[in-house]
Amino acid sequence: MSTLKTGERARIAAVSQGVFSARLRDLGFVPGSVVVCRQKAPFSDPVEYEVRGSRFCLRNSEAKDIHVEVYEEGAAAA
Amino acid sequence: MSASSTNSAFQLALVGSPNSGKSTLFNALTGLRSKVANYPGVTVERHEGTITRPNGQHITITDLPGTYSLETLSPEEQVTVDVLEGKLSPPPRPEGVLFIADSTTLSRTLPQLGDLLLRMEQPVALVLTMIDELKARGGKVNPKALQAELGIPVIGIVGNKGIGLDDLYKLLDTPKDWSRKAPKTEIPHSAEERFVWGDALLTTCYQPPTKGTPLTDRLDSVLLHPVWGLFIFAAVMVFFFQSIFAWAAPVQDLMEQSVLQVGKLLQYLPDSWFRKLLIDGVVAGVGGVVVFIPQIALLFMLISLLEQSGYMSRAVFLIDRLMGRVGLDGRSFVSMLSSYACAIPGIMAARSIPDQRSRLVTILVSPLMTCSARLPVYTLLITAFIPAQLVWGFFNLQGLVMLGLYVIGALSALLLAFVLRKGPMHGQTLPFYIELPPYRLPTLNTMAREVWTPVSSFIRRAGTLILGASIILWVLLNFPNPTPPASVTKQGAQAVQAYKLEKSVAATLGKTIEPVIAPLGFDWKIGVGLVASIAAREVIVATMAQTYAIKMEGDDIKALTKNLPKQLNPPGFKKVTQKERLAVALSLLVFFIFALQCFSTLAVMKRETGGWKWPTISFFSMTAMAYISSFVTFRLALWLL
Repeated sequence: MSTLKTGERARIAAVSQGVFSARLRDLGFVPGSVVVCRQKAPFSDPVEYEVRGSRFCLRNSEAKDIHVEVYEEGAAAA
Repeated sequence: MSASSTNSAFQLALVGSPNSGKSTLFNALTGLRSKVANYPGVTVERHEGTITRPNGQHITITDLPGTYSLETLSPEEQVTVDVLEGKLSPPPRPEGVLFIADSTTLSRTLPQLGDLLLRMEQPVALVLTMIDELKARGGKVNPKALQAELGIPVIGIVGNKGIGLDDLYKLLDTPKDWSRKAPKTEIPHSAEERFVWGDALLTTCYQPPTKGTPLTDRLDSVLLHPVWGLFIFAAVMVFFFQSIFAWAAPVQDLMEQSVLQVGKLLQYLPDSWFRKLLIDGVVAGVGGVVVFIPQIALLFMLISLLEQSGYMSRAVFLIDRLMGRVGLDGRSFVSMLSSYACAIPGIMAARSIPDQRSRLVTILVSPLMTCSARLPVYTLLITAFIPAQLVWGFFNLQGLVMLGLYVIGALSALLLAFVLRKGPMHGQTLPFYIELPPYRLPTLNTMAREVWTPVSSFIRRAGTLILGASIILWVLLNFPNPTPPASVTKQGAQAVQAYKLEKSVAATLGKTIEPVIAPLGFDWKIGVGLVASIAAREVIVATMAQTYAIKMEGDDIKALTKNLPKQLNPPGFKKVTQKERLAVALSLLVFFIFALQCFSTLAVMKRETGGWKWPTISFFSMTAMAYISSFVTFRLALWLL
């Protein structure tokens, strides 16, 4: 997810297991959820993502554990 | 309300995500009847209020800290789970729970409700907030259908407008009758499957918002912009500090005048030691401190504005990179900014930091931020010693020195954090995350609560700790009160006063420690002040008012600022000029940047870190830092000036 560009939309495919994966899950970063990369802080870290109606800011070191497929416009909604 | 009726009250807890509108609902339900209390053993604040329904039903409502999950990370979240499980007492285990969910983010929070329903047997009701916003953004929700699916009461409300509250009250009238049927589809025990469960359940009765939040989006595109965002952030910070000094000043002058008037009124009392104690001890001591109430109130008001509007988390977003560099969490910024008001709320704010080490480092560096208790000391020394001249046409030199002290405090906090994270506290930390909620208009009710709590505790402190210290000091400074020999009496009243002070118990004590502090340029008078201010920094102003402004009865800060440049003499110097006195003043200023003189901070540190180990280490290492820096400053100033 850390490679997403500002404004890009993607669907979460998988989340790597780690100490933080449970919290990422409870914030709504679960397989199937659609994420939008909204805004990057100065020096591109951290980054603001929108997921399930909320906006969270994550550092790239965490975002890279979330694997996404870039979401094509017009595809079926989640 | 009598104790017996409170005891028979139905115990209701509010649970939900942060930013779910929980506190707004709590305020709407309890209003002015709420009070702030602490949980035993933890410093997380507890907001609690007991209401009485027309049918005589008493309900005690507790607002629990917001949680993203019941699998907790931060100590704050742990409190919520402990209360729900009845592990903390007080408060008693809740007999019913209102789960508060922002209806615009329901698909994220419903799995947490599922978890709660699995864990608790008590009645639970779901309260959907911000349904007006959901509708405005093209979404909709059918509470009846949701109620049928979940098997628990569901109510939609708009907390700040009071919409839907009647239905909620009706529910509250008969809390014991809340039905708790099995949900239509069984709640899965796996957290990941609960998301699938939630999504499936919502397809029939919920439509998520289709439109964005145009105002928030537009504001964010500027406020979070890599260039403009930082620019505005800097401007907000300048505004923050400017307002504390510029706007609080008139009110502060007013307070000073009132203190002066009280002193003058007391002059009408018959001349006795008691009058002297009241005027020189109590009014000078406590008065010198209460004049800072406007400034402190303003600081907390601004912090409340930043928090409530949603800008605080934007600031965290912008500053996280810098915080990460020194090994801190973006949230540490909130702690550090609050510590500008007072280290106590700053240290308490650190409980939202999930990572233990980041949290501890944040707690340890918070007392280095320039808290409002240092303001009386800084203001006094700066007005007395730094000329109010303009630099480069528009900067006031006094203001620049003040800014410098703030900057040194903040930089040394960051440096200490860096050193701690490289050395004793190194290692992997838990990841950082923060929610950026939509911008919202702050409410007066919440602000009043967030200002009144710290201000009232400051006043309490002035009335107890500082009053006590002032009286003890006055006694030590005025006894044994010997009759001076004729040679002194001839020189006039001022010489008599000086003679009596010189022979006082405080002077004897001060002179004992003078050899230790003489290398910093401090004589016994400052020594007395330093010892006294171990309790609280601002006490030194009260001490100095008594030791340096002795010739004036009913003295005030102005007399003190006039006297200090003539009297702040370093010990052991044959010839003392303005240069040496300025060096002493600078040395003293630097001492106050570093020294951890505050009982209350130490006490909170002990509670937050679970023992005396860290407060003890902090106290001694910060005093050592203060001693060394003061020594260097004094020597450098003598050499350079």
